[in-house]
Amino acid sequence: MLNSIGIIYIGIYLLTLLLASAELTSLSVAALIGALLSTLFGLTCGIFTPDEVIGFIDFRVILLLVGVMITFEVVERSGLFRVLALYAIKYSRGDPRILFFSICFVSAAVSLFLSDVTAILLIAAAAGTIARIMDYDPVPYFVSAAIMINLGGTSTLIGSTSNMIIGMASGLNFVDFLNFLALCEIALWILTSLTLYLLYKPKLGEKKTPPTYDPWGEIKDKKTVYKAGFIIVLFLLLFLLYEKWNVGPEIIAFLCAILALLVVDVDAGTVFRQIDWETIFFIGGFFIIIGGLEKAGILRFLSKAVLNMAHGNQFIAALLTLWSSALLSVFVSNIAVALTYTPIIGIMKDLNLNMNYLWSALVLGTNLGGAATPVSGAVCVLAIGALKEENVNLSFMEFSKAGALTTIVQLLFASLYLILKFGM
Amino acid sequence: MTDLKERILKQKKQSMERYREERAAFEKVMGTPKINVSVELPKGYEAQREEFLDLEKEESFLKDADKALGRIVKKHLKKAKKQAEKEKSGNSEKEDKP
Repeated sequence: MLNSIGIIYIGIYLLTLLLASAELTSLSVAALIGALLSTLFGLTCGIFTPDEVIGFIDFRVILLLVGVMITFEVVERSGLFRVLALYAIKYSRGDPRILFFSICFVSAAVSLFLSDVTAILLIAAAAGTIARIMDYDPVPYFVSAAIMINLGGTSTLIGSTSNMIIGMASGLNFVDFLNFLALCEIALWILTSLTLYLLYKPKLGEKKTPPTYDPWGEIKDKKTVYKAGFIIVLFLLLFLLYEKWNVGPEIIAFLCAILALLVVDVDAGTVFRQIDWETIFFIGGFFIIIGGLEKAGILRFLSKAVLNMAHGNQFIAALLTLWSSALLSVFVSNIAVALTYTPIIGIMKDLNLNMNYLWSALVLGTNLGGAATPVSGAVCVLAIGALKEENVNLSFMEFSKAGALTTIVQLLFASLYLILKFGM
Repeated sequence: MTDLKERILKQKKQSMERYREERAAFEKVMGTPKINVSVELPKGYEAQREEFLDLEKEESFLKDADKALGRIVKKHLKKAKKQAEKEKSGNSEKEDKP
C-alpha cells in the first residue's frame, strides 16, 4: 500500500513531468526542480543521506552520452554525413519515388550515429534544398525524415539516449542489442518507409531533371572526411569488442571522443559548446527523482502491479511494457520513460522471467513512441520548424496523421516480433 | 495547441540557425551558389544614415543593385577565365621548349 511519503514522491514526479511536457520550463530545469524537491524532502525526513543522493546518479550513463556526443559532433563537422546525403539525392536521378526512399533510409542510417536533433537539421536541409530546386512539396520528405530518424538506432546501444539508459541498467552490451533487435529494426525501416510512401504517394511530384553536381568534388578537406570515416570504423570495432577487455561502453565512448578530438582538426571548445547539456542535466536531475521513488518503495509497488496485471506471465508483461512505455513516450520525454521503467523492470530480475524479453520490449516501446505527434519528440518539433523556414505551415493533425499511423504499424509489428523472437 | 507549438519553436531558435547554415551549405552544392557583399555608407552621406539602412528593404534599390552587381560579377569572371587560359597557354609553351 502507498504511504504519505510515497504519495509526496509521486507528486514530485508528476509535477516534473507536467513542467517538462507542457513546456512550462525547459526539460533540464524541470528535472532540477524535481531533484531539489526530492532531495530536500528525503534529507529532512531522513529517507536517505547526502551520499545516497549522489549515488542515485548513474555517472556511467552520463559519461557514455557525453562520449558519444563529442565523437559524433566531431565526425559531423567533417562533412561526412553531408556527403552521404548529397550522394543519396544524386543517385535518385530526379525520380521522386527513389528520392523519397533514399531520404527515408539515409535519415534512419544517419541517426544510428548522430543525435536526433543534429540528424533532422541535416536531412531536412538536404530535403528542403532539393524540394525547392525540383519544385516538390517538402512535407512528405520532412515528416518521413523525422519519423525515420526517430526509428533509426533502435537496435543499437548508442542509437538513442533511452537505449543508453536501458543498456547500462540492464547490462545488455552493443552485441546483445544487435542480436535481439537488429532484424526487427531493419524490418521496421522497410515497413515504415512503405507505409509513409503509400500515405504520401500522390504528393511526391513528377520525375524531373535533377541538378548536376559532384558530391566528392565539393569537399575541400578530403583528409578530414577520411579521418572521420576512420573514427566511425574504430568506434564500431571497439564497441563490438569492448566486453572482451573487461571495460564498460562509457570508457570506449570517451576513448573515441578523445581520439576524435586529437585526430580530426576541430576546435575542442566549439565541440564542447555543441554538447546537449540540456539532456545531460535532465538525466542527472531525473536520476535523483527516480532514486527518491525507489527509496519510498514506489517502484517495487509498480513492479508488483505490472506482474499482477500480467498474472506473472512474461509474455503479457513484455507486451504491457512495450505498449505502455510507447504510449507514455508519446506524451512525455522517452528519456524520462526509460529512467522510470528501468528500475521497475530491474526489480523483476529476481523472478523467473526472461529479462531479455522485457528489456527488448522496453527498448522498442521507448523508441517507437517518439514520433506519434509533433510534441512527442524534439525531432518532430524541429521538422515542423524547418518546414516553417520553407514557408510551409504544417498543422498538428497533419503531422499526427502520419506519426500515429506509423507508430501503430510499428508497435503491432514489434509485438509480433517479440512473440516470435522470445515467446516461441 | 498552436500556442504550445509556437512556444516550443521559439525555444528551438538556435537549432533553426543551424538549419539555415546547413541549408546554405546544400544550396551551395546543389542550387545556385550565392555570395554576400556588404556595402558601407559612402563618405559625405553621414546625415542620411536612416535612409541608407532603409535601402536594404527597398525593392527598386535591390533591383538596381542586382543588375549592377551582375554586370560586375560577369566582368570579373570573364577576366578570371582569360587569365586562367593565358596561364595555361603560357605553361604549355614552356613545356614545348626543349
